[in-house]
Amino acid sequence: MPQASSQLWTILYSVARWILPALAALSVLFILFWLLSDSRSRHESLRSLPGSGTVGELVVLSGSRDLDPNTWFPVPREGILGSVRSCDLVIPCPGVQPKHLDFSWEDGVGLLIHPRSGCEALVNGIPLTCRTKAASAPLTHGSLLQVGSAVLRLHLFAALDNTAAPAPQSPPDFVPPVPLPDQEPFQPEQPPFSQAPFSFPAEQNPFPSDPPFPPEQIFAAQPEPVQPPDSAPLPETFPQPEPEPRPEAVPRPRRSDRWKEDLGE
Amino acid sequence: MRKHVSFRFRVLALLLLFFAGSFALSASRSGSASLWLLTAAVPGVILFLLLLPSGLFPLDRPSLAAGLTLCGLSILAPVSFGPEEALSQALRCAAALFFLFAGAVLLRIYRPSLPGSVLLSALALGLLSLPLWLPGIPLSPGDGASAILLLGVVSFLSLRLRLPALLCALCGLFLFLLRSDPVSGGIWTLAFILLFWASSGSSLWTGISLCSAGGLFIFWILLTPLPDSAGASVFSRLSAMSVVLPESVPESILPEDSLFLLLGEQYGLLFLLSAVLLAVLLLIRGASLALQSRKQFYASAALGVLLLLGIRALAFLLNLADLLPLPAGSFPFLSLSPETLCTDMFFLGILSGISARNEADLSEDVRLSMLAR
Amino acid sequence: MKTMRYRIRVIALVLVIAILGVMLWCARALFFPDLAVFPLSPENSSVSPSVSPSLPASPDPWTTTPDPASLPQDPWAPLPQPDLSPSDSGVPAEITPVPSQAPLFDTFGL
Repeated sequence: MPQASSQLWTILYSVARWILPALAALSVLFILFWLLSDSRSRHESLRSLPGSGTVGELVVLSGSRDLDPNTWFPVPREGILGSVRSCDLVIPCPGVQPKHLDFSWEDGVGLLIHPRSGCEALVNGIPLTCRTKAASAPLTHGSLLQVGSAVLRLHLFAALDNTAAPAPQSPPDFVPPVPLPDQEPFQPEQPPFSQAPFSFPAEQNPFPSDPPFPPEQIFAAQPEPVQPPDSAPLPETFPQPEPEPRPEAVPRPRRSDRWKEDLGE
Repeated sequence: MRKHVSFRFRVLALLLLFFAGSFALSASRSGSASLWLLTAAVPGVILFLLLLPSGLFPLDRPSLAAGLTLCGLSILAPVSFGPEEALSQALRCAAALFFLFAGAVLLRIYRPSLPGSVLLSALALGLLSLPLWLPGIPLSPGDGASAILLLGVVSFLSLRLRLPALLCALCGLFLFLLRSDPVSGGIWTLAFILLFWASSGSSLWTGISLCSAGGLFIFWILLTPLPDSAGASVFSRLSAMSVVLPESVPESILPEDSLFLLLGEQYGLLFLLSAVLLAVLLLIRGASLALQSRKQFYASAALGVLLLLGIRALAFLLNLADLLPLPAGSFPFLSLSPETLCTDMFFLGILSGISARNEADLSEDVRLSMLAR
Repeated sequence: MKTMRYRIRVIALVLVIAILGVMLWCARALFFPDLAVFPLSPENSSVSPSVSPSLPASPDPWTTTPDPASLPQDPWAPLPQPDLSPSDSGVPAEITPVPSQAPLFDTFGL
């Protein structure tokens, strides 16, 4: 195998004494720049996807002095709901513990609620405790969650809507929610766009087979039902209620001095 | 994106130049065929892995660059002792690459579940207790078992089963202490307590884990004396090193020595500084992947890897600076032990799997937003 | 996840700072041993760093014997007593009162 003469090798070595450490230092420096560049590009891509990482929103139907109705919270895929500021969903209402429950999104099932010990929550009127199996009462689109004195309604993104879940039930002592104008009390048939499938993992269904939704329907509870052309007119004994104007959703306040601090943080 | 890609190619070019130059320098002096082979093989493997298309096998390139550079340094260090020693180390690193892919695949396919958590924890505890059942067995995986135990504990924590997680961690600690490996036990204790603190979200449980794990560790070291760090102070050897390559090539050094010190004595303090900074960049990347994760399982797994590698590196450096009078093992990736190398590659694979999961989540969001348009 | 992300940041920051801190400590001990905050252990203090000709090793102040002439004069040390014996030349020596311990204000000319 080729071998350099001692004179040549001495010259190579004296040059390499400085070049090799310089190359090592430059490699470390460029790996650092690479990390920074990767982080910056990720921030930019997340900025162009405002709802990234969230599955929908929770709208407050009835809150408290510190929580106005029609406040909405973006719901991440996993997190904690409680009354302290360090929680992912802060519900400062009476009856809500500092860390009341954990929630997690399961594809194909819905938003699972795991109350902590000593805490209770009602999902569509069904009571859940720490001993109840979370999958028995998942939150789906339009479901109601009651924690303490707060009543919240879940609005999922259209592409994450799961139609496999049962319809919401109303127990006798349940606070009736404010009906949304696009929710008709009598729907002879399901509108086509409400049959949006739950999301598949990207590797299983890389190509969306459903038609794209218009942008204004991203946060819509349900799109307006399409009236079939040959449907009979409704009888006079059941007059069509006038659609009430949908109340404007108020973005939640950024920070409230009335919210409890989490000393553990 | 263009800038992002250009950094990748610049790093790749620098690494290829660096390793090709380093190995060629030694090969041209000795004329050894093994060293000429390494001159082509080491840069070639780095080139192949960093240019591997994401569609074929997704790997986290920044952390891979840092890890492979450290591996390359571990092959470069014993070159002066003998080309065959460097070739053996290269073969160990090549075999450890299998665990890189195994870790990445495991993280992609595994979903946290109760049977999976029990299986992982049982496997890890079984491997840890192997020397106790079969004293004569040559294989006694400690580091590898800690990696599998980490996944089991993290799996329990993501299912909100704190008590089983705590019990598994305490059993692991107890087995480390029974194997007369208090340093690994101490590293595992500290890593577990911090992991529990970060992921349990409860001060009560954190306090329980601190008292139980810390109490068990302290009780054990009070009963049994801790081993002293062998040999003379290593800091004196550090102070004898030159900043850049020494003016004259130093004499051969025993292979049982630390690769970190070998690297310093052969190539100078700047090389050591680069190795430590590469480890720091790897830790930063691990933290970044943990923060980008959307599920607690992946965030906890990345945090666990960060803790096990970082605390080990810190313990090694403290021992090097004579601030920790205990034998502190080896620096991450700079080890002659095949088991430690395989474990470090497995950790790198875990980070790659988490990075692939994060990319999949982001592409899912892009797809959902396109569906809405 | 919000709390967890915050704690991950804290842990990563502490680890990185600890590792960089140990590196800085080693660098200080190698290149600037006279900047020691606390005394070095005996085996470390006897080693002089042989890094390169351009970086001369500083003497370790904790082990080398200081030169008495280089030490600062103690302002509180008693002044030497004057020689009161009569001189050979016949000129009587001036007797100047020398206090055994100079008061603070006199020492500083106040």
